Amino acid sequence: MVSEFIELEAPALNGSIAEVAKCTIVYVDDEEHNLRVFKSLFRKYYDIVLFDNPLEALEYLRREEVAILISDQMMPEMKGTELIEKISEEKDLITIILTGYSDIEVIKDAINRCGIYRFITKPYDFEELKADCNNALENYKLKRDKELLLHQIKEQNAVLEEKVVQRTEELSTTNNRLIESLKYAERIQSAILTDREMLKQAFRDVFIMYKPLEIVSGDFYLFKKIDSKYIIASFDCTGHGVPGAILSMLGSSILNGIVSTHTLRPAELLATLNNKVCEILNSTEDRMNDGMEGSIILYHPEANKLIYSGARSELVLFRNGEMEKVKGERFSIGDRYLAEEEVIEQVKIDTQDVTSFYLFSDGYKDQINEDGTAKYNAKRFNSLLCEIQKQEFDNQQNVLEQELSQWKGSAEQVDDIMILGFDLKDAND
Amino acid sequence: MFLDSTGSFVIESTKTTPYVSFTSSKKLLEIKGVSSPDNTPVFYSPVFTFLESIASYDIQHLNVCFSLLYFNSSSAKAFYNILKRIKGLTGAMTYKIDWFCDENDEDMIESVEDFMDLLDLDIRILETELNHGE
Repeated sequence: MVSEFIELEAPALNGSIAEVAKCTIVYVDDEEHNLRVFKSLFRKYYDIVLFDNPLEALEYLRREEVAILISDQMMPEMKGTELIEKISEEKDLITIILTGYSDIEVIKDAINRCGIYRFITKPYDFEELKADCNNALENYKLKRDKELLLHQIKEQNAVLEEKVVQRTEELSTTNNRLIESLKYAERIQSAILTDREMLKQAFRDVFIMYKPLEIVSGDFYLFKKIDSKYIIASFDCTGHGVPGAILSMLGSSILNGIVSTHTLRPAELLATLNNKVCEILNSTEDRMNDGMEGSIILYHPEANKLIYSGARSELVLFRNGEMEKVKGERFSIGDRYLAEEEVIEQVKIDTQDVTSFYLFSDGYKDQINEDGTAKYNAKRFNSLLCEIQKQEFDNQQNVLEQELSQWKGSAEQVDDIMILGFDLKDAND
Repeated sequence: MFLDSTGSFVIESTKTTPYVSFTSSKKLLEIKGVSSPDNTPVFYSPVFTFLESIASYDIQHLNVCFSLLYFNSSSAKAFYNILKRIKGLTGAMTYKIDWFCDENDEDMIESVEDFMDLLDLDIRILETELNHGE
């Protein structure tokens, strides 16, 4: 119907310019004359498709991208408002009713129900209708732009989400690799931690509470038996995780080396350890960042004798139910090179009435509680040690573990934790 | 550089690192909170940079204030070095060092006493009921 339509020359239009780029406008009117006039007036500005039958128009509208639908109201096949109502359900376009018929109720109903943009009465003024069409197109384009933007945002969101998934995967892969590598390191580190079985001859029982903060630990212990004597060492290296563990390897291999070739005097072992650590880590007087603090014990069960030497560390022992503390030197290993004439203190202890003794790093005492307001602290730790003296020795570690997890709650562990407990009861029975 | 023209700087606290600042109007160097950095020497390097360049600022007196709930052993080494650097401040510069300790925290008090002994340094220990809550 449309294609054969005869076009008339459009009248000159006072040099007015088409402000809006060409967009398709569908015009429906059962009067051929009206169609002809409309096309001649507007073809210069818009792509126009004409229909004299609303049913055909509906079919076309369903198929094609159309910006504006202008329809006559009174048509035999279907009313203009009906056509608009039908197409509005399926498509988003701007609709204008152009009619000679001007019942206010129909107008109200059409605007309210179908969201009609304009209701224009015939005869229309060309400039006015053109302005309306331009505004409508402007609206249409804004709406389209908005949809396009929304679509773009959705697409970008999808891309971002995909990136997040990808990054998360990458991070989890990296994390897994780090953890695997740490677990491997843990296996190596556990090899340097002596089996407590070798102490069974010297003690009734021994417990080792060893809880690294990050799989590997800056804390380490070492037991050695030389003839009938035992060397027991426990150290807490600066830092935790990998740096702590590297230092622990250094400390334990130095100790292993010097215990077998040097003297067994704890003070001397401590001084040698200190100077070797200083040498290896290149500590100058100016900056000492790395090192360790801890204790060395020489225990001679046959002689009921124990010799203690420590650096920023202490030995806690129980004699006749009373707690005794033996404090080490105030410097820490790696602070500074010690001259040969500098005397490091060591304390000789008669173990005749000693029932148990403990070595430990700061981790347990330094644990912060759930609300981050308090440290467990030495006071609580000491009284807990006193309390568990009444307990069977093999239950002591359980009590310490339970108390720690209760104190800590959901808070994170702050440092590596190590407590070594030695039961002497049998030896003195 | 992180220091402004008066030498002032602020490092906000995190879960594992303390609040560290120098406020030139109060001549106050503060270290406050929990100290367990993953890389302790790097974390405290601004303090050393500040102390090294202190002569270039118009500072005749330095107040130092430590208030820590917990510090790990590598932080202890860093504090030792910081205190040593402060003790080494020369010229007409004076300083005063305060250390707030929880009255129940024997270890903390002992550590501070160790610093005093090892460095032959005057530190005023202020025993308090510390509250490091939010």
